[in-house]
Amino acid sequence: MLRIERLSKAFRDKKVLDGLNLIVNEGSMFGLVGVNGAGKSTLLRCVSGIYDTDEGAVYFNEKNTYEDEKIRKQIFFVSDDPYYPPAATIRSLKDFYASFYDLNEEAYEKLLKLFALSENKPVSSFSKGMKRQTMLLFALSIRPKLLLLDEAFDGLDPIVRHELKKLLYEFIEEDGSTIIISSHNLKELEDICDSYGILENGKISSYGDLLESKANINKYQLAFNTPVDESFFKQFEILHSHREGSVYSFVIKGERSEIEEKLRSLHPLILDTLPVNFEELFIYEHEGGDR
Amino acid sequence: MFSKEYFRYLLSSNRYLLILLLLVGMLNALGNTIRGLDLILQGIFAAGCSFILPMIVFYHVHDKKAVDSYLSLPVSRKAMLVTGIVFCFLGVYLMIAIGCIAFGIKGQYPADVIGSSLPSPSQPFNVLLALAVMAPTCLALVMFNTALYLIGNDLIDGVIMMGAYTCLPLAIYIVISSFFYSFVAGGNNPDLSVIRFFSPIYMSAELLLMIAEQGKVYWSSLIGLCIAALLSAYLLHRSYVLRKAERANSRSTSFFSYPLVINLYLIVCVYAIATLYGMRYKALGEFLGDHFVLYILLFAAFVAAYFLYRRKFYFNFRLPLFYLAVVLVSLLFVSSARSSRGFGLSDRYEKAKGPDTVSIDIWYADNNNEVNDYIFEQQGKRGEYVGVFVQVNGDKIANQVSLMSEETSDIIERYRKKAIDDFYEGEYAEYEASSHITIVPDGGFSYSQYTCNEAIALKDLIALAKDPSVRITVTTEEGEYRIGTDGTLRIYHSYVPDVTKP
Repeated sequence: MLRIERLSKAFRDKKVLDGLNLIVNEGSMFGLVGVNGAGKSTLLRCVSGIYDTDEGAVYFNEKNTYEDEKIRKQIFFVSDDPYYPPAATIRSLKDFYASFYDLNEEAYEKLLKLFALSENKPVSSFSKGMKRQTMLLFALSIRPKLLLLDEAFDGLDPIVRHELKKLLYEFIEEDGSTIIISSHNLKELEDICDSYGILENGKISSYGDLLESKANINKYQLAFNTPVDESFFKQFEILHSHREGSVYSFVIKGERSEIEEKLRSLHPLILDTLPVNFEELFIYEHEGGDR
Repeated sequence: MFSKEYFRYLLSSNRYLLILLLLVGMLNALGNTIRGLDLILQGIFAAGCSFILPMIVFYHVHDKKAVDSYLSLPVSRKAMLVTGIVFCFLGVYLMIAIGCIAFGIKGQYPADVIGSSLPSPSQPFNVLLALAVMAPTCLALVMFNTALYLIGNDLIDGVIMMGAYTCLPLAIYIVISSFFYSFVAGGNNPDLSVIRFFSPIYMSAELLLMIAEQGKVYWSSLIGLCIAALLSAYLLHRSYVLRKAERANSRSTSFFSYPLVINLYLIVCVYAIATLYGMRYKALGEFLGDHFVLYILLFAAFVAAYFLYRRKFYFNFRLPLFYLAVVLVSLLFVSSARSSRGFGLSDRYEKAKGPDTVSIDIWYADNNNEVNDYIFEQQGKRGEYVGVFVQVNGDKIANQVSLMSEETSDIIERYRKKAIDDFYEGEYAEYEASSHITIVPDGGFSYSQYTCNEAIALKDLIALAKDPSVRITVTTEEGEYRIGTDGTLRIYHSYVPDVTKP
């Protein structure tokens, strides 16, 4: 289990993470989302032990990830722009990672074949997508207990993205590992993540089970033939509202059946309830946070 | 504290570099036919390695992407630091060890088989001693250079810091020396050997040469290096183990980096220019007229240094103001130094007296300008007395037992004071018709050299000749003569077979 307690991190005068608390359960695929500059990469670097924290700490299986180098053997971080030494080849990188981690030879061979990468060509000659595949190849061959993927799907073609999703599922299923993925591609995250967290103003503003959260936020469209007292809507936790003539649309957080019952008491001509997707959930949560 | 995995990785990833170093070292050691030169060159190569290897091994802390890869590894930072230092040390030590062993092997053969001897032939003990002493020396050098490299936040700044702090002791030495040379009559340098303790590379070279030449250990340098290693260990702990990973590729803001380094070197350069004013010019306007372009160029270099520091064009009114302030302070300093006679330092030496003995060399103008290796712009007629070289020795001259008389002391002091006046009045003595007074203190380490643009008068010379502590040598193109206490001239050393009294 990953436990983050009162984590604060500032760069010069800018506080990026501010007393952040988070728990990610073992065997979970956690989607970390946030606007640009929200601190997703900083958070992942703190978790992987690259950055020291200004306050608070990160524990994986109750061990501090910055102070305990042994626990870092169970963690692997794939940054959004990975480093490859000059003239590095997949073979030389294999030697490098095999020096520090227990690299699974079988998984390595399988993935090498799957990604169709050349072992002896310099990585510098690879395309952006191939470079990312190279790092994913090692990430999945090392089979860490905690895998941190920053912008995991960036630069991958649809076929590789599909393959990667399958591999991540298998990885969790077989090893019971935990994966944290940060991405701006919420559609991809929605497909694979079971839980999520929205990073905003240095804190996790909203987090939980993705399906539950999605079920808890819905889009309601109502139409009336007579004017309604708008103060009636103040009782709801409205994330977004829009009115066009006598047609109202709301995004409301709360139990769907209860909200529908209350809305029906206004005798609308039409009442439609639509589910939100992860992207809408993020947008509305973000707007809600701004309010 | 030490990571075998990381060390193995460093060995394998740098194997080509290590092979290259080994080859260069062996080719130099085996190919060199001059005994001893291989050791000196090997020392230079090793010093070079002590800069290059930390740049390669610790490059990752200066690269935003590499820092992610390396600092997320399951190795503690302390272990990475120790392992990296050990790796660099082995590379440097290997280089010097090859040189020591080759030096030892060649020392077993006669000099004419190997070539000319430089330095003296070695013995197995010296080789073993060199191998033993060079181990802590190389370690200290590597630690110090690594600590300098880690002051910066990227590769360029790291290299600049290495260069800046390595050269700084030399720059300070030059500044202090030039002050004494330019503003203190007598050019009497204080003992500046303490500055070497700020230069591990100088102490290392000193140690190596002392062992090679004399088979002795320069203990003060060895202790100095050990202190440098301890200080570096503390700095490395702060700059690597406690380093914030986010420093990579950011602006270097450590106190010891910028703008301190820029300002230090600005002060050195501005002072160097101001020295010209203090030495050669009487009017500020004339000096500024001659050196205005130099000041403009230096200001451009100053702004360029700020550009390097900030990695973008940076101009703020504080920059020219600071620059002007430094220039004004430097001009004020040199003017004060000149008007106060080197802040009174010229008068701190007491007149020659007591146990001192005097040797006076008198030159006559002649057509042979190369007598005693001195070249004079001879203006006087042939056979005319033009000037003297007076040397007052704290140590007794061989066969001299008498003490300097009060009269002798007064005469020399009169000319010395005249020389001081000439120095501050800008009346520079030419070699013709001048007196050069050198005062060598006990032990003869540093000298006071006064040049008076007036030759010692003949009546004074005759008075000096009467003092048995004074040895007067008259040099002509035919030979050297000594003036006896009775005032007569006797041949001392003849340049021609048939010599007669001039």
